[in-house]
Amino acid sequence: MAIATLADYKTALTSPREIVPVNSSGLTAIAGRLNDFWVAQSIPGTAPTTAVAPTRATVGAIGQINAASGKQLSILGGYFSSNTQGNYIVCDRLSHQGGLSGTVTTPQTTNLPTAALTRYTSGNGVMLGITIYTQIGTTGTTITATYTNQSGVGSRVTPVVVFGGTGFREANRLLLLPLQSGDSGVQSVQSVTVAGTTGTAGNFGVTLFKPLYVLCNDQANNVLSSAGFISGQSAGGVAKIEDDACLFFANISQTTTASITGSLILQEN
Amino acid sequence: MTALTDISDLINRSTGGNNGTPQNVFWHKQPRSAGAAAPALIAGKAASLWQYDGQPSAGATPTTVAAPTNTTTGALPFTSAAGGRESWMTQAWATALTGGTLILYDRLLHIGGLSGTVTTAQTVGGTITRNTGGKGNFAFAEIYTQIGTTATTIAMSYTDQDGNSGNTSPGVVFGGTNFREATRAILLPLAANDSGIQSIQSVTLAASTTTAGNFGIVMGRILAYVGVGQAGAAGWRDYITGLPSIPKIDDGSCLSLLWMSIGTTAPEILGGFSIVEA
Repeated sequence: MAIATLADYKTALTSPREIVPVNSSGLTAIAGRLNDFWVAQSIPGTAPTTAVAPTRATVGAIGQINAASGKQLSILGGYFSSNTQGNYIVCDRLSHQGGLSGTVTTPQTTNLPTAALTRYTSGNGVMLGITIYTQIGTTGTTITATYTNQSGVGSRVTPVVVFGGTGFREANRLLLLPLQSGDSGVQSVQSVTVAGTTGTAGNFGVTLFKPLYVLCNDQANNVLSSAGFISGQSAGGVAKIEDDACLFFANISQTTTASITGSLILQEN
Repeated sequence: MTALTDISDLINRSTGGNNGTPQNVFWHKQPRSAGAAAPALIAGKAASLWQYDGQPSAGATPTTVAAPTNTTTGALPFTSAAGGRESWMTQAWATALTGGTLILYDRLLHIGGLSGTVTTAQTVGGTITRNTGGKGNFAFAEIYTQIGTTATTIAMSYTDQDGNSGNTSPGVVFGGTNFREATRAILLPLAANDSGIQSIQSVTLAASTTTAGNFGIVMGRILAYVGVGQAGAAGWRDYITGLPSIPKIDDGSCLSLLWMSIGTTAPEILGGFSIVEA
């Protein structure tokens, strides 16, 4: 069901289904580049050791309550503070794995293929990221992945992107991989290939996720901000949350640190 | 067509009521093209992200003249409205590795295969299928393969928003350093008193740039500007309460991106937009 009127929207804001606290702190960022808060938050997730399709019950997930039967959960907005300006992106973590190496230059299939998607199962709009769990090496090289696209076509190959070296090696970096021509999403990943050794094995993994909502933070020094559909400082509209969604924050910061403390306002209708 | 009647109607449709069919789309672009690093940019000048790798994938280099749509490879994901409704953009957002301004536009027409050494008129032609009246349409030269080091000028012969043909745009610099590299988007101004373009008959170089390369002409209609103040800053537009008010997105729009950079770093960009039907 929709929220039919402005009055209903106001009611939903003041009497939400759930106010979910979020507290993600201590991440060392690179200005302008994407970071993964999965293991860098107050109640951290762990680097996956197998291929898993995480849910709201997975440690590290924000852990919202599912909507009642026949209802739809959505994000109306949030209020939050941060030590630095930037973008705090609420995503649904759909499938992840770890245990890949920054020194292996043959196709890596450890803990691959990725676990089958249980939400957004067509893969349309699902993004393919590389999460670095333990810092890899200082030598810059490139990385590609073979994947099955949103239409179920396998053996697709991502164009190369930089991997390793400053800005592309640090723990908690989330490196986005572009898609092969004509593709708009990812169902699964079969292998990952690093073109040359980065010099240090570290530990990295594949993360399939879907961005849902953005808290746009213009304020540093932990000044309180708010975001909402008709009050600004947000993106993603009134974002739907699927049952069992594994919500987590990705971030692009203006500086070399990132943290967020606040709450998401969720509503079911 | 049904107008968005008030804020309640907008909220209703944006939460799926009254056939609102909300679309919340996220995309990313990497500063690479077919895996190769994208050329450095010029501060304050436009670059086309059409051939940047990302999600969606890069667009192809156009050959013959064509009117791209939302199904053309390289277009940002967008589903046309159904049931006689129209599409309206309620939010847009972007952040990037470097500061700049993102321009979201509907790519109405494009052609490639033009030469940086031909000094006679090179035919563009073709017919646009959206915003056919031409008002607000703009044009730029899009460089696919680097042209020559000799700077010259380029002008187009076009039909304006009132159907007057044979208009000639003022010449702008074309070729030479910073006006020759792949991904450059060299905006073509209009003749005095014009406010749009219905069609482009041809473009003409005043002299050879000395290397043919490969360039094309793109006609588009700007839908949204998103300012990103610096690396990592959140650029957001709320068209519900901000100006301009709720841009209309034509059925079949080929949503595409230009980037006006603060510096010379080719951008890595993550963005999104929200659309509702009414």
